[in-house]
Amino acid sequence: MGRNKKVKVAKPPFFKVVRRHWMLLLMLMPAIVYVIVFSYIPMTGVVLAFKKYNYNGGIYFSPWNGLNNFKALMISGKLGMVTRNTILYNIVFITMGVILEMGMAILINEIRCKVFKKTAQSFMFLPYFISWVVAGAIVYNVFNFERGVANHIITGLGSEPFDLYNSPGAWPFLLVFLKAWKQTGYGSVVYLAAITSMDQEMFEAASLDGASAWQKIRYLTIPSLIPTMMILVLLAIGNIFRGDFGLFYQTVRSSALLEPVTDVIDTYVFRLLISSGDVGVSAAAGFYQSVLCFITIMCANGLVKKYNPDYALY
Amino acid sequence: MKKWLSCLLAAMLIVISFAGCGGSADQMSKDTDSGVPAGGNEAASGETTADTENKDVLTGLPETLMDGEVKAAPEMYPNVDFSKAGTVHLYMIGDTPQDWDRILAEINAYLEPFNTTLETVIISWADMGTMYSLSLAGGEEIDLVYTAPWCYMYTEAAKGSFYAMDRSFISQNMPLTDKYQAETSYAEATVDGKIIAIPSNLEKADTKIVAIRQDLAEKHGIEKLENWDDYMNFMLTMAEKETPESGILAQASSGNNAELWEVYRQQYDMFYLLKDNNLHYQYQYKEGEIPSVEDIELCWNSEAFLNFAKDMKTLADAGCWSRGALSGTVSDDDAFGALQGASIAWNGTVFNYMRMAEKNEGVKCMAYDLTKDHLVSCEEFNNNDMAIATATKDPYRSAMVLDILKMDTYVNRLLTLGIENDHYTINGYEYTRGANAEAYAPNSVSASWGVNNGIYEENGVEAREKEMVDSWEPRITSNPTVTFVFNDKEVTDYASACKAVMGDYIPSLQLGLVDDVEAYLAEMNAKLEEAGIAKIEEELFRQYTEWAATR
Repeated sequence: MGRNKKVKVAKPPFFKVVRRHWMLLLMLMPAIVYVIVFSYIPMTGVVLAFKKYNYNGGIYFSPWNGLNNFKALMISGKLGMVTRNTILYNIVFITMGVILEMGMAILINEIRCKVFKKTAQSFMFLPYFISWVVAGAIVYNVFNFERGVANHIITGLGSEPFDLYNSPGAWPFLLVFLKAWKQTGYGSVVYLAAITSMDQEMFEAASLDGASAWQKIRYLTIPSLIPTMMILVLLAIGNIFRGDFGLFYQTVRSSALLEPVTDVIDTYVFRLLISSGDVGVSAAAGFYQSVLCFITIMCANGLVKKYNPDYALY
Repeated sequence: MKKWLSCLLAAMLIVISFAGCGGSADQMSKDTDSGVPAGGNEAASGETTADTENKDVLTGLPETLMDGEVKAAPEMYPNVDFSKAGTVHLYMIGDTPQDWDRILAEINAYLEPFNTTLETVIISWADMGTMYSLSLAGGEEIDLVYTAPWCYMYTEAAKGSFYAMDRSFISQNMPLTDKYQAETSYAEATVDGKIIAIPSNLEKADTKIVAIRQDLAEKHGIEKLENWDDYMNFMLTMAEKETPESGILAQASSGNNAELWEVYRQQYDMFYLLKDNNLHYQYQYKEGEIPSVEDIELCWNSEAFLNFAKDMKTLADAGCWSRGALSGTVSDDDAFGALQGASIAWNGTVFNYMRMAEKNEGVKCMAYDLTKDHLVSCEEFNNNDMAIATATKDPYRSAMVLDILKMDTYVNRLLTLGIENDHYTINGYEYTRGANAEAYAPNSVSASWGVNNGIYEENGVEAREKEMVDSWEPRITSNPTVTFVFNDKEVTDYASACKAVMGDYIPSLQLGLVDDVEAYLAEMNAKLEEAGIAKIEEELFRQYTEWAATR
């Protein structure tokens, strides 16, 4: 009984809350409306994955197609390949991201010359503002077989020219490099912010105790960055089944020869939709991707919660 | 004050969130006023009554299109509500001619008594692969659309993009087409008993030839090309001697070498049974006989294609085209016209690109038929078609406009030839290019292919072009299976999967950008097996056997 009473006290009637806080709620409205309109309403389009789409019926009134769109996805024989590529690339991106971003943030933090620090940071940040379209064009102009800068240099040195666009093996390395080049500067900002907000007295005490710079990094900075890293990794794991469309589409330039090593779920869905116009199958692939993402984030968060509840996202 | 400012700001943010969701009130009322139920794609058979007086209006018309001028009148279209103004949106593909706006203005002036305006959208060749399907799917205002088997006709029909018609709908809403269109043409665009598009009214030679930079050939001691071996020699010579010197590629291939493959396969006298987005089945022509199922093969598994792919590898290895050709974005035709390539392959249109290149001083081009001893296939009616889009708000008005574009002498000439005494002059049914023909060349927009009746002959054609076209005449042969149309609705999933596999492998094979042709073909075949090619073939042969039994 006592419990019930407590609940009543803790939870006043809904309308009373609305009346009391109407102004705060009103200010919350734009955000709620935004999420509903752009995140929840489009979610209803997921029915397309189970429909035989035709233009008469549109999204909601086309005839149901059971699981045939998923069957079509399976018989295409590509689902396994694109899923594998997406996961492997993302694992490498996340790992490389954590190491490089954290490393760069620590290095920048250690720089004492302000001018150099600012300049270095700006140059690291710059690639983030270059779109993948432009980055793709740069890669093409550098590695083009006949007219590329790289081959001019290579042949000038007396070696055989390198045909990047017909060499699938080189692409995983190039894509990882490009991703790191574009992302590191931006990603390190979060770590840098975390480092600067750390209690400086802790570092001063360590210095007084005779800790070297490396020891301070090893035993103070890195452990203090773990919560930030966990949050960022968790967020990244939630998207482990989402490929960076711009990177994979713009730099690879839709070459069928390179697909086995460069095709990710996003580019596959796009190609399905654009080249064959198969709306239902594309939606099925998108649905498959979303379900996998959902499962991954739930599992990852669950595991973190189990071992260290403080680091969990929710 | 602060409070009210916060409220106002919040309210404004909510309104802004919906800013993109608006719709014009005019449009809404127009949509509901049209009186045609949304998604009315059920076999429209002219449910509204056709006026019997309509037939009287037609009685004064000439017997055939070549017996006099055909003039459309509003009375011919009793199902169209002329009290309301209407706009018909026509989608085409191709390049936009310089004088297109003038042609459109003339057509619209003519359509005034019909209280109708024509608006057009021309999707460029480069955007065709992506925008064509999306335009039909994306809720655009689209009433009429150019289509063809090579332009997603069957794929789009399967998705319900086209307004399905029957002969009754055509006779009641397109009276001129009903009267003048070749009756046999409809079968070529009939799927599941429904006419999905109106084919062009024309059959003509459809052979593929090559055009080369004759000046460069002569520079390296090549006089002329007689056959495929000569062509290979020309290409290898260009790659070896010309490309290192001037940077001009033997052929500036882009995306694939489908055009060259069509030239090559003519040496084998093969006809297509099915040609749908890489799903190409062919058979050997035998004196007009309808082939047996055993004679039909997937063209990528033929001996002809294997030999072709090997030749392409030889050319690619020699550097005849860029190693990045697979993802090229400039068409080989445009590159030839811009002097970046020394050869192109396709039909009679190569003469246009030859003329474009020859505008440059010292450039001389020549076209060669490499398969002179082989038959010339007759272009099917359905190689160019015009469809009414399902998205149309007023199929009757759209049908009327299509009828006028196709059969009204004045409008048809505007679309196919341009403005008289400016773009062309005419004497009977023989036309000559006018002083301003550059601004609107004859048959230069895709819609003009779709509405072509094949009644006008060009006078003053260059001797080399006339000689080439005349040489085809005695060899023209009709495809005996031309009226067979495969309906893949039972195997759509497998067809999509197989087309995707072929779309991945065929361009690389056609461009010779593979290490081992046979191994790559075997890999493709293994993937096709997994993707269910056997199921497609089973259905294809079942339908074909049924069709053959009715012949």
